[in-house]
This record gives sequence, structure tokens and C-alpha cells, in this order.
Amino acid sequence: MATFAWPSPRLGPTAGWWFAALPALLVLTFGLSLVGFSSFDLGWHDLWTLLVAFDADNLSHQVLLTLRLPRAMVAMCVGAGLAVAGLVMQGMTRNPLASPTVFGVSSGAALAFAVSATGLVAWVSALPLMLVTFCGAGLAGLLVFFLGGLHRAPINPVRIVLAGVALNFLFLSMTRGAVILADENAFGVFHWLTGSIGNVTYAEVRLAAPWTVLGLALAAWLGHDLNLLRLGEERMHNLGGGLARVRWLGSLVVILLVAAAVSVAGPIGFVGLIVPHIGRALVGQDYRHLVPACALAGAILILLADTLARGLRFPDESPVGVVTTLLGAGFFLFLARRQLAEAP
Amino acid sequence: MTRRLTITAALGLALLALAAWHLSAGAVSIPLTELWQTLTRGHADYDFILWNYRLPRLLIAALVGAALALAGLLVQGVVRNPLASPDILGVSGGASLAVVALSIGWRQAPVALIPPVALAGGFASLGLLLWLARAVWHRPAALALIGIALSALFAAAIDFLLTLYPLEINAALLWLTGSVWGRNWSHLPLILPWLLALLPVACYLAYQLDLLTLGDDTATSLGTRVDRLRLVALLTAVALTGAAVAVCGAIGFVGLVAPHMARFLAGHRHLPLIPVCLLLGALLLVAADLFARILMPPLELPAGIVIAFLGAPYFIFLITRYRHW
Amino acid sequence: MLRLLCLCCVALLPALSQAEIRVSDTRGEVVLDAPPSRVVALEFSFADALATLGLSPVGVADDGDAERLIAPIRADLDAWTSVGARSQPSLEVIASLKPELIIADAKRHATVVEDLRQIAPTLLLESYGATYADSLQSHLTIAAALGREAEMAERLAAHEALMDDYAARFAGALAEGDTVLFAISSAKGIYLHGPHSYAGGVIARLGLDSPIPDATEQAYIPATLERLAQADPDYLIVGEYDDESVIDTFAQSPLWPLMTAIRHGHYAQRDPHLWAQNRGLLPAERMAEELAALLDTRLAGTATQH
Repeated sequence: MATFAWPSPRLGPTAGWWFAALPALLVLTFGLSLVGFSSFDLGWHDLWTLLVAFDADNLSHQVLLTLRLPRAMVAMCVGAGLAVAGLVMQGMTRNPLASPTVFGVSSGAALAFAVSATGLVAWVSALPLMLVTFCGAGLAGLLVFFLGGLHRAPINPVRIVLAGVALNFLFLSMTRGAVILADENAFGVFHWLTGSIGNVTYAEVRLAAPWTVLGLALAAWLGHDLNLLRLGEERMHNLGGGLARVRWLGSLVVILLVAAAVSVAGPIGFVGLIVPHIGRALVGQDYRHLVPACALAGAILILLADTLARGLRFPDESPVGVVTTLLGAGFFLFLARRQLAEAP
Repeated sequence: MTRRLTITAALGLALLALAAWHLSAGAVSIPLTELWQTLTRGHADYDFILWNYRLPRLLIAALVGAALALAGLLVQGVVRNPLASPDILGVSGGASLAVVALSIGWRQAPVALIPPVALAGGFASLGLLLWLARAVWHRPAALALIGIALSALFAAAIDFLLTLYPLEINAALLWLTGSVWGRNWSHLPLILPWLLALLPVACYLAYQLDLLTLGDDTATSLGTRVDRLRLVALLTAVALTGAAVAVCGAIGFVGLVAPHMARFLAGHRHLPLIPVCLLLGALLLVAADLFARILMPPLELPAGIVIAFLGAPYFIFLITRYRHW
Repeated sequence: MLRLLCLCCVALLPALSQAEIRVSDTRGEVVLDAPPSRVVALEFSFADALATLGLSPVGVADDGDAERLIAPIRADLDAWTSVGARSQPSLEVIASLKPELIIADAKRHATVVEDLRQIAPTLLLESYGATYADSLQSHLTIAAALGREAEMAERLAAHEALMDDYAARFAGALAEGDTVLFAISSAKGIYLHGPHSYAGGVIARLGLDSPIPDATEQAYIPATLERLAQADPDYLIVGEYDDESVIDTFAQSPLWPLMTAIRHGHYAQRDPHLWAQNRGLLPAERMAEELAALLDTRLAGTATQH
């Protein structure tokens, strides 16, 4: 069985430069996503007048404030959360292909949503949608955790990939079954299943933001332990790191971040796979740098992807998940080949 | 040897019993006594149901299940990982993408075009897989990994098409889940010849696959041309999967679970495994189609969902029990 | 109107000359020995056509839930046997009903039409994703198959007259350039039904404009509040699939009261099954009636508002 090797550790000489550039890029894409591709004639000047002279009767101001702003904020939460969740998963499993999408955590949440939204199980439909998807992601996360053998050392990278793929498949079939039975009101369900942030409000921001911030903080705190784990379970043990603690806390972080993201935006695919690799290319292997870098890059990626999704068939909206999934699946393929080329 | 024979015979009997249940139960139930009469002398009420609905479905479910199981056995023999299956090589994904693209690109496409298009899609995706994996061809796990990535790409493309054309969602999802509904005698020639032609190939490969389990080097020193063996075995598996998918849509889990149960029952030598595996695959899909019809009559569920429900718990059991990581 | 009558006459001619009935469906010609009385309908709009003629189908593909057919159609029909889901109807149940005619959907049931024909003569007609004009055509074909095209032509003429009547009323009540939009709202999304959808077709038949450009090919357009506010219809009708759907969150947005339809109280929630799923004569007339209640406030009193 092939082992998956990390690229050799190197500290990018440009890392510091990137830490200045990423926030600037974030501000730029944030602005772009606010004014880009609107059915209304929005421009940067509207953003400027909104800041200096807000007018409640100005339609452009209202659109920016009540539609675009929460949408961009959710995009940032979801992007940062999924990216860091992917990073922590990759760190814990020492498998560069780990991510919420590949391991079925997102599809667990999607299944929960589909069951609730199609009204097939009455008592599930009676619960708040957010709670249902949150529980779905959490349960799927726990299942992958145990089936992948994360609760005992040492773990096998192939086992966890295959466990994830199989779970993903199971959830997907069940989700499809629910959608098929729902027949014509399936449109809306399917749209959401690909991941969309077109209809979010401040309520979604209030729901996602606290959990995302908490998850990000925990991930940052775990940075040092993940660095130790990168050297191998044995070395980590010798250096006095707590393997069990990293895994439990890491899993908690993943479930928190993924559940928060999925419950507001649906299963937006592959962000957690792509961004950690971009992060490593930018700032090197140190997890203490990687966590903030991935959070920023993830937020930028979703903001860009959402703007792109709006422009794809303008003036009609496409779900943002379609864009990230297409990008991500291609990247996944590239990554799998590169990993294999580098492995002994 | 006698144990294997007993097991094979028992499975054969079980399949017969299940077949009888499949034929008699449904939204319209046919008592077993009437069943025999309808089969031998005909019966005004049940002729259509039995001869034109349940019997072709039974045969197609059994053949497709057997084909998928055999494909799974070959893939697991080549990849040498018991959790591998034809699904993860991207074949089903490629076939599905071809069918979805056909139904969107050419609205009035004749129904008869679907199976060949699916088959072509399956082979095209195998070609893509072999080309992408040409550098790591000798490493089976690498092949599986690229297959998984390829499947993800196909799934993404399907999602993309369906968001653009929401009216196709229902039909496409039925295809993606896999169903035996609406399959009739005309579908039989699409699967039977493949199985008949490829079964001898699989039997011929069986001994060499046994050698392969000893490792590439040992197999080579014993006179096996390992690379050629892998190619032939994979091509066979893909052809079987492609034909199965072309008839019933992307039914998963059978190719994963059936070979396992077979090994559990009949050991690790491939030749005696083949009949056991075929029977188990047939049993699984016939059972799935039966439950698809009788769980919520008159609603018919897609058999692929029932398979997922039957297969997933077994898979979970498997993954927790498997010790040879 | 004239075209429809001519079509009826053309369909009528062969029926007069010989006993057997010949009708053309999307696949070719179907021959019936005698007018069938036991009919199975595999889509809602076909059940509507049968209800129009006062013939109760013996079996309907109702997704296992009779309530999916709107109440006015159900009221006109005797109890039927469910033959399962529209996407995968159970052929064994259909066979056990011993039908003399099966009416199947050209899109959903094309794969099984040969099997269905072994049970009984089968008409393959447009319903799933069909437009208003398609569904009227299907009604005529069904009537022809039942040997009752004259009756259906009469009923269609009455339908056209009724729709013309409504159109005239709306023309008087509405200002030039006023637009009407129907949208479906479910748990996580809202879809605008454009000019190429069934509801859009009915709205256009009544002489009303859609805020969505005619060139929009898609029948159902996924939308956000932003797109809805930009379309800014003068009258907005929403069908809500769940109790708690996207439109409820829209209604709380500060942007909501800025929309024309909301400002003038020209907003109503209506049954999504009627507006989006039951395509036929009765549904179209019901929709016209509901539109009248919303549009013509002077005639119908106050519109239902949520």
C-alpha cells in the first residue's frame, strides 16, 4: 500500500509578504463581491456613498446593506471555516486528501437537510432546519471518526479515505432517494444540495459567525500540536504531545466548523481540500501560520467563487457550490496525481 | 472442497427461493400455487405481471448483480485492497455523465440509445483513468486514488449540468441511484452476452490473481506478466460494470460487498470464489429489487437506495472488523 | 380558437367514417377498437382532462398521495386506485386494473411505453414540463381517444370564452405595462416561473405581462430576493411548499416593503400544487379566478394577504 508523503518541509521566504497581501486581497474581493454582478446597477461609488452618506430610501444602499453584506459575511465565515476544517483534518490524518467533502461530513448534513426539507419524516421536518443540518454534520463527523479508526493509534490513511468514500456514497444515495420521492418540489432541494448562499440574511450570519470564530480560535490553539503530529505519532509522543487530545479537539473543531458552514450554506464542496494546499504553497508548513493563512484564503476563495457564480449565467444565479465543486474536483485529480508522483 | 460445493449449492437454493418470492410478492400478490399455474399454463390475470414485468426484472436484476459482483472481485484482486470496488474507478460516474449529457443535449434521443451511450461513457472514463495513471500504473492503490478523484470530477460535472437544467433532475437522479424499474426483455441482450463472454476470461484470470496476492515479485517469478494481467482484469471489470450500468444505472455497493461475503464464505482462492460471488451478487440485487417493490406499494423505490441500506451496515461491520491494515 | 375547432374536426373525421378510433400522440398513431371506459392516467393533467369529460380514471399515478391532485379535480372523480409514483409507476398495478387506455407522459414514461402497450393501448402525451398550449393539445387528444372530441371542443370553447372574459376584465382593471409573476418558494430557494412555464403560459393567455423577458428560455428561474426585487412585478403570487420557506425570510427584509407589489398590497400566497403541478383546464380556470381576486380588488373585495 502506498504511503502518502508530505512535500518536504520548507518555510517560504515570501511567507511574511503573503501575510500582508492576504488581508488586502480579502478587502478587495469583499468589495468586489458586494458590488459585482447585480441585477441592480451597483458600482463602487454606491459602496462609497453608503459609507459616507447612508440613505435609507436609496434602493442601492438597501440592496447592499440587507442582501449583499450578509451574503459576503456568510461567504467569509463559510470559506474560512471549511478551509480550516480541511486543514485540521489533513493535519490529524496526515493525509493531504482529507477534507469535509471527501470524507462525507458535508453529505451527512446534506442528507439531514434533504430528509427535513422534503417532509418525508414528519418529526424531523418539525425541527428547525439549522439544528437538523447541524446534527447531520455532527453525526457524520463522529461516524467517520470511528470508522476511520481515528480513536486509536496508529491510523491508516487508506482506511480513512475508503471509510469516507463509502459513507459519502451511502449518504448520497439516501439523499437522492429523498429527492426522488419528493418529485416536483425537488428543484429547491437540489439547488441547496449543491451549496448556495443566495438567500442568506443576518440571521444566518448570527448563527454561523460565533461557531466559526470559536472553531478558528480552537484551531489556532491546536497549531503547535498539529506541528508535532506532522513529525509522526511516535515522535509526537516522545516530544510530550497528547495524541488523544489533538484528535478529540481536532474532531470537535472540524465538526463545529463544518456544521456551522453547512447549516447556513449547504455542502459547498472541496474548499477544505483546495485551500490548505494553497496555504502551504504560500506560507509553508507551520500550522501556526497555516491556520490564519487558510482562514483568509478560504474566505477569499468563496467570495470570488460566489461572485463568479452570479456572473456565470447573469442575471440568473448559480449555486456557489457548483463553481467550487468543479474547481475542486479538478484540483483533487491534480493533487492525487502529484501526491502519487512524489510518493516513493 | 465439499464445503465450497455445499455453500454454492445452498446459495443457489437461496436464490431460487428468493426468485419465487420476487415473482409472487408485490403490489399485486400472486399466491405460490397460482404462480406455478401461470408459469406452466398461463393465467388471464397474471400473465402480463409475471411474464412481462417480474420475470424479466428478476433475470435482469440477477444478471446485473452477478456482473457487478464479478467486476468487484476482479478489481479487489487487482488493487489488492478489499475495500476497493468498480465504483471507485470512476466507471459508473463516467457512464452516468454520458447519460445525463445525452438526455440534456438531445431531448428527443431514442430510449434505445441510452445503454450504448452509457457503455461508451464507461470505456471513455477508463481510457481517461489509464491515461492519467500511466505513470503510477504499477501501483494499484494509486490507481484507486485517481479513480476516486475522477469520480468526484464526474459527479461535479453532473451537478453542474443539473443546476443548469433542473427539469432533468428527477430522471437523472433515478439513473444515478440505479433502478430495475421499467427494464424488460429487450434489456436482456444488453447484459447477458457480456456476462457469458467475460465469465471465461475471469475464470482464466483466476489462477493468476491468486499468484498476485503473493506480491508482484513472487507472481512475476512464477511466470505471471503482472502488468498485462492487471490491464486485462481491469478491462474485464470495466466492461462488466459498464454493461451493468448501461442497463440499470449506477448501482453501488454490490461490487464492494458481494466479493467480501464470498471470501468470508469460500476462502481466498479466486476460481471457487467466482460462482459464490456471482450468486451473492444476484441474491443482493434481486433482494433489493424485491424490497424496492414491496416496501411501500404501490410506490416503487429505486433499487440503488435499497442496496445502499442493505450494503452500508455490512460495510460498516466490515471496516470495523478488518484487521490487515 | 378557430384552429382548435379545425383540429377537432380533423380528429373527428376518421371517427365518423369507421368504428375504430385513431389518434396521433407524440410517437405516432394509436388505434382503439371502441371508446375506452377503463382509463389509467399517469400524470395529474391527464386526470384533469378525464375529469373535464366526467370520466373517472380507474388508476392514477398520484405519488401515493391523493391530495397531490387539487380538490376541484378530486371532487369530480370517483375513488381511484393509486398506481404509484409518477416517476416510476407500478406496471403490475396498472395491469391488474385491466385498463382499456393508458395515458402516459412523453418525458417520464418513454422508456416503458412498449410494456404499457402490452397492457393496453397507450397515449404518450406532453405533461411534465409542458406549456399551457401543450396541455390544451393533450386534452384534445385524450378526448379524441375517448371518442368525445365534440364534447371536449365544446368544453374548450367554454374555457376559451371564460379566459377571454377574464382577459377583458383584467385589461380594464390593469394599467398599461403592469406585470404579474408567479413564484414557488421552498425551504431553501425561490423559483420564478417565467413565460415558458405552465403558470407563465396561463398568465400570458389572460393578456397579462410577465416581468421576466420573453427570451428567457428557462421555465423555472432560481432567484434571490435581489432578482425578485429587480423583476419587481406589480402583482406577485407565491406558492409555498413548506410552512417555513424562503419567502418568509424575504418578508422580514427592509427591501420587501420597497417592492411595488407589496407596497400596493398586490401580493398573495396560493396553493403550489394548483399553480405548479396540476396542468389542465380546471387548474387554469382556478388560477384565473384566483388572479381575478388579487388583481381586480374593486370586484372581488380585498385580496387575501399574508
